[in-house]
Amino acid sequence: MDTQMKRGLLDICVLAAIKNEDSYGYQIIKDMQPYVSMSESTLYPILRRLETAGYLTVRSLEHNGRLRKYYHITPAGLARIAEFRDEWQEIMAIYRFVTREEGHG
Amino acid sequence: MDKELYLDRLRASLRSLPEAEAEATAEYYAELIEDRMEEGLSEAEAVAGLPAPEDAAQEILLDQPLARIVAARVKPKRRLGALEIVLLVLGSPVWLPLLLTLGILVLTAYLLVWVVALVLWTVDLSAAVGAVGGLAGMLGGILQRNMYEELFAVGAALVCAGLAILFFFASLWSTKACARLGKALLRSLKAQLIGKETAA
Repeated sequence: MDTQMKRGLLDICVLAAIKNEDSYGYQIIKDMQPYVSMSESTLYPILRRLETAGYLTVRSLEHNGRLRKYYHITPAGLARIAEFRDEWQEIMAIYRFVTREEGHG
Repeated sequence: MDKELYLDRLRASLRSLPEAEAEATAEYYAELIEDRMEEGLSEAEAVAGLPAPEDAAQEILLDQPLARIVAARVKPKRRLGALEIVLLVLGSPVWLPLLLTLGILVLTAYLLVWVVALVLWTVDLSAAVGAVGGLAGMLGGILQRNMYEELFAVGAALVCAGLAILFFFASLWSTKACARLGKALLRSLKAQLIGKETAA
């Protein structure tokens, strides 16, 4: 897959992983596992990028006597997911057109 | 490899980053190792499941803007001595033009790639103008009731229109190729700079 496209899709996946409740690095990777496998080293730059873009915020909470970073989605992050759903409708329309051509050929 | 060794190697590979940034990265990996251990893995198993620290660092460094990588590369690791500063100033007529030339050469190489696209677009535009001109010539031929001139103009207009369409796609393709090449060049330049740092 086109790397630029995959990068954009993984950004959305991470936002979706924290959409319903705040989560932390290891949990995000585990939640995504059944759908898309992502390495720890790939996740980190994405989290940084999303934080810089204002799509999520980070806070450290104590867990078992140590600190753990929890990621929280912002309204801008939720809006980005909604935007993705709209964009995807367009892509699906193109996909239907492409496969229809193949069906006739 | 235990957790401390992993984090030390990670920090060493991230020397070119601002310290706070490198430390935040180390915290992220420390947290991952601890979370894995909480699930019942031993420390060695938890570390073994992670990417090699050098690979993890590479992925972070490639995501940094080029300016930051260059700034980190040229930042001296220690303060310059008085003699070194004097030599730098005295030597500036030599190294400054050399550095400028190198920078301009790199920039020129990059612009040269775009010139190909620009030339194609220019040819495309001329062909389009030629097609319009040919149509005008055809009208002129009709007004003057000169059939040969009219036929020639129609033929020229058709050829130009065909060329314009062909060159439009060639131009579009070359522009996209240039953009892709530019991105690839930037990435390889970054990798080059980072590679030297981690190898040092």
